[in-house]
Amino acid sequence: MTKVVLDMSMSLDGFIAGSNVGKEYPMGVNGENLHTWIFNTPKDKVDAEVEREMFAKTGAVILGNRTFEVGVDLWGDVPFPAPSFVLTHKGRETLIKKSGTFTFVTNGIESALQQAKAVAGDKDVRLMGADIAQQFLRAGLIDEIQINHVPILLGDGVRLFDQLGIKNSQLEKDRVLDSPHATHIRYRVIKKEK
Amino acid sequence: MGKVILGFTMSLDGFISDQNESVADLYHDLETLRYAKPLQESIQDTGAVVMGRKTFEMGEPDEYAGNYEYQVPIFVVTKHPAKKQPKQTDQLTFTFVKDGIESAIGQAKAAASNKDVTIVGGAEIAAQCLNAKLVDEIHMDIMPILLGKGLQPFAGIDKGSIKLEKISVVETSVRTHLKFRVIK
Repeated sequence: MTKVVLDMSMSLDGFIAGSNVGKEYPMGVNGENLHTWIFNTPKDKVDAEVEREMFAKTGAVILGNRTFEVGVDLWGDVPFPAPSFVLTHKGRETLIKKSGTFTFVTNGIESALQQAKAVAGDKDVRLMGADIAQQFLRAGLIDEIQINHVPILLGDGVRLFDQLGIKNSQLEKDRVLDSPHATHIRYRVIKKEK
Repeated sequence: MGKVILGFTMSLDGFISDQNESVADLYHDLETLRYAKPLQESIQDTGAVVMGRKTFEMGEPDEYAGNYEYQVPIFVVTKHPAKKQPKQTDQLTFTFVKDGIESAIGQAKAAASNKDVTIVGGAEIAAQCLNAKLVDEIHMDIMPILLGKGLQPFAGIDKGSIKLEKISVVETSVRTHLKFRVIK
């Protein structure tokens, strides 16, 4: 079954990007240090497996417009080889890239999720960006959270869980994988009975 | 010589207490935690504790002696010492340090002799110690919970990238214990 997955590389002080994110610093100042576990050569065996799994399991992506604008040139493609849905206020025509398409969704997260699930097959829907992550968390729409805890302190930047405003104790740790560059901890979000 | 260790439990969204300054949600596993290896080792290796005034006030002043995990000299960093000296024993003493964190760490090191100094909180003290490069290791427990709001342990640290080297990762039931060396 398709899961909605939040999978982020985060500094110990809670940042998923440095300060001044923009064309000049796509990951923010010092933000590239959050992704050493992916870009390092040679790659650690654990990190390589986590990365392989991340690509293999992604069936669709939902991202915010800001992430799209900053990333589109950098990726030169969709961020993952899968259909990508950009949540935005301003509609535009579908953008076709080498290994997938960007579809622009203007009518909210539920609609984006519905469209993403429809094309994800039995793979996961992956979320990108702090704002999208928080919207989905507040709406109770996330099934799995994986945080790649990176051993640095950034002191400034974009926080993943900035003032979420809601408590959620319905998380269950279900896997810990460790390399010198990141501790990959996966949590299941236990859904309340409706 | 002993090390200076910054130790705390943090929620997944990065808070060491909730918006009501309660830590109850972060320690609902206290019974398991108490007998878990990471805490037992910390108790064994710690020769002195440094804490802030708020952290001190989380416990009953007279109940530390005999009950607190760390039965060692405790140094409370505060401009306003407690009016009445809390109950002490041969092992556990209280010193209220009015002249800042460096002084507190210095006094704690002397008291700990060969053992470690453990800084148990709170957030202001953690940031001050990191900025003053007084911390050798960070021992951080991650609790799988989102508190939504609260106190951030690293809120006041200097901007820039402080690099850490991971020492170990240990799982105890619900929590994950991470140990890091601060690269100076």
